[in-house]
Amino acid sequence: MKNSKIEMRKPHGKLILKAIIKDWRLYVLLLPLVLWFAVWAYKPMGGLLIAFKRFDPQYGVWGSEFKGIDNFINLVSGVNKTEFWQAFRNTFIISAYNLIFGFPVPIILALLFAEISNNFVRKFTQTATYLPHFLSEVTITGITLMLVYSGVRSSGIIASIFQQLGLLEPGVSMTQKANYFRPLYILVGIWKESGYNSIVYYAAIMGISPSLYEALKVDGGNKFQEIRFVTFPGMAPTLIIMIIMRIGNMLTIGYERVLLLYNANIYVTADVLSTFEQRIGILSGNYGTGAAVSLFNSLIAFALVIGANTISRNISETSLW
Amino acid sequence: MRKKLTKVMLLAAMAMSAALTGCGSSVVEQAEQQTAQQTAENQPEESAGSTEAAVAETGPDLTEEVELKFNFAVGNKSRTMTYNQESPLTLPDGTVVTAGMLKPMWSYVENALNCDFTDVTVQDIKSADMIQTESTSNFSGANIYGGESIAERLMYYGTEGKFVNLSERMEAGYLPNFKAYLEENPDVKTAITAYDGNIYHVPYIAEIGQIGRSFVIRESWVTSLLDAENAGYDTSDFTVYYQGFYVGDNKRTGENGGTVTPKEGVEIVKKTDASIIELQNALEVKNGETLTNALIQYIDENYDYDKPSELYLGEKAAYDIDELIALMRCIKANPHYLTDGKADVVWPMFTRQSSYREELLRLGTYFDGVKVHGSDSYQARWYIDADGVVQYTYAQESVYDVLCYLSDMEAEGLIYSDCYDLSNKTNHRSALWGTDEGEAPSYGFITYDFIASSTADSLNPDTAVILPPVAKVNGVWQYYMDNGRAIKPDGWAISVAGSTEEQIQRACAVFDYFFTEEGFTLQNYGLPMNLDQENKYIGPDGNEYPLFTDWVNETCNNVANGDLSTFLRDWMGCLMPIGYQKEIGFEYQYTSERGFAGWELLKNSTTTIATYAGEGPEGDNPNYYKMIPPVFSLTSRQKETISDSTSIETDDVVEYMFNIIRYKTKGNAPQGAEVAQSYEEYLQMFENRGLELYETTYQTAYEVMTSVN
Repeated sequence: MKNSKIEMRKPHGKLILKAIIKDWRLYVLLLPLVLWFAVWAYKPMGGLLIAFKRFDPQYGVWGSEFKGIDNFINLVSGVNKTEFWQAFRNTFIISAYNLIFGFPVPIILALLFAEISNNFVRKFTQTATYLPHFLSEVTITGITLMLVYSGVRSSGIIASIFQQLGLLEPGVSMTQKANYFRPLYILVGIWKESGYNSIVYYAAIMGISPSLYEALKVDGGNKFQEIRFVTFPGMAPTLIIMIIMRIGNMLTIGYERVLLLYNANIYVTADVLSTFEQRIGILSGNYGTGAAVSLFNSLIAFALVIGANTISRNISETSLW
Repeated sequence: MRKKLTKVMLLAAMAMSAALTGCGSSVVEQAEQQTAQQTAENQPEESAGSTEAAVAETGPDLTEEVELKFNFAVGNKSRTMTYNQESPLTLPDGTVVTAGMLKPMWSYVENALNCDFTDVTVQDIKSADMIQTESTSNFSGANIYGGESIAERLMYYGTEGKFVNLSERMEAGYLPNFKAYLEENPDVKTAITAYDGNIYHVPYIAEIGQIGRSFVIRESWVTSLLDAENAGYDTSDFTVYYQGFYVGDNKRTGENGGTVTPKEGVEIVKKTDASIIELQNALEVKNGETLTNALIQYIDENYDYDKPSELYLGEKAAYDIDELIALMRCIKANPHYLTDGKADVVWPMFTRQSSYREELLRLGTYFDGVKVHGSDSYQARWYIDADGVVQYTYAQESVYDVLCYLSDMEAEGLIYSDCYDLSNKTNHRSALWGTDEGEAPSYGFITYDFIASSTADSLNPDTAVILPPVAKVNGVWQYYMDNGRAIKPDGWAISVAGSTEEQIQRACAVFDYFFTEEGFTLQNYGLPMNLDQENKYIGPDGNEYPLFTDWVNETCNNVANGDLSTFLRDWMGCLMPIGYQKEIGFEYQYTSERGFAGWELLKNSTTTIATYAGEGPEGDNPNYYKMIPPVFSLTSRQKETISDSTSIETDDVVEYMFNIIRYKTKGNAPQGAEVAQSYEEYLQMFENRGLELYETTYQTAYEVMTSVN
């Protein structure tokens, strides 16, 4: 007891050093990740100062004139307020749709994969569903635009079907109609990413002890009861972590696909914070306001992660921290 | 093993040195012997001293070779100084130009001015992106920066001390030829002078005083519609929406009517107390047959032409916008007749690409002379009102009215419906004029485009230039095209941070060179070896121009499908948007006979175009038709005001305008597309985006710009 007290009084630095020396190989492995975060995640944070400045590239971040919160005021109540709030609303709505429609699909896929007993068939279908993930966003949206294009001389297959069903006037492109954007965006996202995203859930399912399934079978449980009482509880920690991360990214709609699919006519449903930020910051050269959008976005995302984590900790005892 | 490794390394070293040798061999080095004598002749006299007077009198000191780095970005690697074609180009003297070398014209200049040019441009980068990036390093990475649509930034950074003050240099005796050019062309000087009264860049100046684009049509459609006897017109129903412009109080009777003069000595009396639009609209049955017969009867009753088609074709053309729309209706309503049954649909009006859709707005000129763009640039959206105040054209009620007329035309199917969608990258001109003999032909009638390319034999042998509609421009009935060639917002400037005094002086010499006769010819036409040294080309305007050799024409046909402009730019390094005065002579030399007929037609007519002086159109308010410089020099505060407090310079403004054209009359706007139902609603959109502040800021900038000159 006495010895352990002495151990406790050892300086903290020495303890850490001792631990590092002991497991130095692990720390070497960790080093690239730490460097990556330092260079790409922490160092650029200094650039957030731009949000409070009238940034001029020739003077740099420090040399540019300080403007206080003018950029934020301009954003929420100035000349850009309509576009900003529109982008804010769209970001939330698209994220919510993504959560509602996009989140369950990989889980369902993982459950289905787990039920395929033939190894070859399972591996083949898994690989087939992963493939779109490895295609670039430009290729995916290019294919999409081709499918939904509708012009005088030719129409894509989906546009033709919609025209046959009377849902689309001839000569009107689906990408020109605001009401088609969100479904299109979500569906393309599901097609591209659900297979790849199913890996983590499939791994979670594989981690569940077979004895639990056997026990349920002995008790007379059917397939749905297996999923309900064994698979889902077994996957729960993974599901919760993934949903927290998803909520944290609610305001981080990938701008690439939006940028490639949208046009000025459908900003009303398509413009999201990241594309608005790109237009106002890069194209219009209003870097300060662009950075303000970015900072605003990050703060809300931060609050959302903390909120989701707290709720999760309280109701399920599973949380990120 | 070690021996093997040594061998491999030796081989690699040899390969590398061979490659480096290849990279370093410029056209100049290859052709050193051939050009040495010529270069000596070309070099301006060396100055003995370094005094200002000496510079002015003897030209720049070119004794020492000076290295100059260029960052000239145009967003297209084919258009930079560096040769980026996959296949090498063998010049007439045997010099071989390969990828990565300077293009021949640049090698020639490098040699002529005793420089060592290095192109440090990221080859595909856009000009604006390049300027933004380089501004972070104070433009220290090169000596000369340039590109497209960056004049405003060059002026801004010039006032910030980042680019060399060329006014001071001119005062000191440098750039004597450019200085002389500015003295002869004060409009150019005004356009490029920054708010502090100094000049920091040399602009690319298009063929000022020349017509930019004109109306080109399928000629045979007009004659077969209007002149043929017993024609088998179509009888499918046609729905009308357009109610006419010269109707009601605006009828062309009394003081509003009269005589028009398409050409000196030719007078056409327009007895137009009847409106063809009203006549067509009043028809009980509207189809190809009835609409066309109504038009023919109208022409017979109101004009003294030998053939009805003369109202539109040739030097006696005197049609107005209503008569043009009436003709377009006839075309739209007769697809089977006009195409021998090959097509169910034809498109009367189209633009070359969707990205040129703003050309449709130019029809505004013919609704009583409404100003929309003025110059060839779609960014030219200003005019000076009678009080000398700048006004934003897009926000005017007259422009809104034009959008509504165009919407009626769109509803009648007179405008190609693929013209609006910017995601559509198709060349509509090729599709609608160039597929007649293909398996799936498409047909279009009229476009507003450049003469040479629109009348190319390879495109369609039936195309022809016509006079513009006659319209009340500036209160007077006349022929006018609000589309003159302009001072471009392109050009180049010299970096302060990136240059030594020696480099600045040599860069000035490079800039000035293109305002000498030799440099001017070089940039417009190419190397001396590419030009016939004994004969000249006589243009349709009667002027002499350098004549291309057969080698140019043959090589151009082989590598660039006969597009001389592309060949000179992408293979030879000419016609780039650097600081120089462009000449039209090269364009004449690949124009078809029908193209020449078009030039002749316009040249001999009374048609006037927009100019910086406001000369040309008759009437009392030349200000309205005066071309405005493409960019205004804004101060730092003004830039801040524009970016923080207005949002007018965004693409959705143009989309908003085109929504009116696409959807207002038909009332079929898709969800999300805003369509202004009244001018008040339309104006409100601009006001919400800070129109008043936008105009005030530009008015201040305009006043400063005009007062400092």
